[in-house]
Amino acid sequence: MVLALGIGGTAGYAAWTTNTTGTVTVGGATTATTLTGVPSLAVTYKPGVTGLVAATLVQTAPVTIANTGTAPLAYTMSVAGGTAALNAAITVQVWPSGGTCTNATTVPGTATSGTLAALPALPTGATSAAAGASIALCIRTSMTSANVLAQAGLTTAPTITVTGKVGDNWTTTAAGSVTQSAANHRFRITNVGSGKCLDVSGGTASIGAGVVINTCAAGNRQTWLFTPTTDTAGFFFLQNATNTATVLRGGTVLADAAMHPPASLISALLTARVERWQPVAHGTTGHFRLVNNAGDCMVTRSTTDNSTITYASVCATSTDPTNADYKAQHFTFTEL
Amino acid sequence: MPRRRPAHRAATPRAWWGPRALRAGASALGALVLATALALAGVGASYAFLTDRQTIQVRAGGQTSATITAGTAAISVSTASFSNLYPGATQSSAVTVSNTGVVPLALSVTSITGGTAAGITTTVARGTCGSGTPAITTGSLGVTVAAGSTATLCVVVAMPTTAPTTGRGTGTAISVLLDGVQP
Repeated sequence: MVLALGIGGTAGYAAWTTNTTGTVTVGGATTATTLTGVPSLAVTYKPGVTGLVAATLVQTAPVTIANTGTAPLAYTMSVAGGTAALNAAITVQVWPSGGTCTNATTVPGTATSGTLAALPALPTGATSAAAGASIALCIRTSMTSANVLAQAGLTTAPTITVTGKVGDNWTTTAAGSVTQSAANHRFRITNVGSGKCLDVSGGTASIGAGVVINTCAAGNRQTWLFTPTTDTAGFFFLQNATNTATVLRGGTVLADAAMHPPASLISALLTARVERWQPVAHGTTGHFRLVNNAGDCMVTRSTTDNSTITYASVCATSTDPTNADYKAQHFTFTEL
Repeated sequence: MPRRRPAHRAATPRAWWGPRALRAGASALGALVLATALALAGVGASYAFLTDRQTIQVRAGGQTSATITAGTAAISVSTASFSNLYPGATQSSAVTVSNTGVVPLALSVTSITGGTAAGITTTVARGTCGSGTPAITTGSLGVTVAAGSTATLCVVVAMPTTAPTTGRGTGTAISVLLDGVQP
């Protein structure tokens, strides 16, 4: 028996259907970033002492923003925290690093500029990074001597944050902190004749305390701050670290070789001039005379501990390091 | 002349014959209906709608015996995988649809599910990626796959710039339900 079933003839048909589910797997990108190099901007700004030590007014360091995620990111940079007054006095310049990034590097015209209180925008060409790519920046912070003087004693430790963003909602951040200070120079002052260091009698620079020499030792009593004067370029007040409310006065009489409250800057009296000092290189390399604004030199002829600095006197002309006057009037400075 | 699609579908395989088409005895018809139903039950996802006016001829007398094997309609599709999709980005990938049945099938997208929580939109277009054919989320793809042949489709996923962070660094599964219908 043959059974034939005709399907699909002119008068009948069948429509077959089927379905399948295709699986699509979508992996979302990741957002991650790092910021390195910011701590290398740490610096203590100092105004410099002419002829003795250069000013420290600039700090430059390479900073790298790395996109360690898998999505491209557009970056912005911001800052928070720290000491507002000092932040505002510190200039910040940012430019794409061309490889060399030191204090000697010339700032290109494309650099952006702001302050540590309000960072500049990232410069053109350094605002985004593809996944896995990095942005190499050169960042320079700087202060003027006047600002260092005005802000001396302050320290700031702000946090710099970079924010990478893709789309409206995907963000990632990385941060780094930097500590910067403004300070005056601090020296230990050693007489070349005795090999002993300037000290204060009694261990505290109270008003009237005599200035003496003693065996060199660490500590505030042999630490002298050089605070630039605002009225006499190149001259400094010498303040002992035990009490910065007094300054060293070195007149031509014995009683003036002692600590005094700073004289009025307005009167321009002789007493004010003898409170202003300037290290002047003379004789052997590394030897200096300490000359006040009256033109007299610091003198100490004793080699005995606790001997009083005799007075400021007419500067001797000898450049012979074995000469007694030379030894009495020449000093070396060790920055602390 | 276009053929009519059935007005409705059955959830289980079934066959239907119009009464006017019957020309055989009642016993022969009973055997035929049983054999067809069993054969169709093995097709799985395939099913058929048969219109009326089927012709049955019985050429033997006495005991009747018949075996009817249903045709099959089946498609499979390769998977698509995307990585590192981010807001504002669009990615595409070609997939291959294989017609493993014995009838040609017109392809359509019935539904696309998944991905919305991450803001992902998914579309499908016929042909290779970049060919410019319209991408759709549902409806006919405008392509018919011959029996035993394959067709290329392009799956496109996109994430808008406004996408939430839900999909960041995570995997999302999206299902695309493709229908194949005998034209």
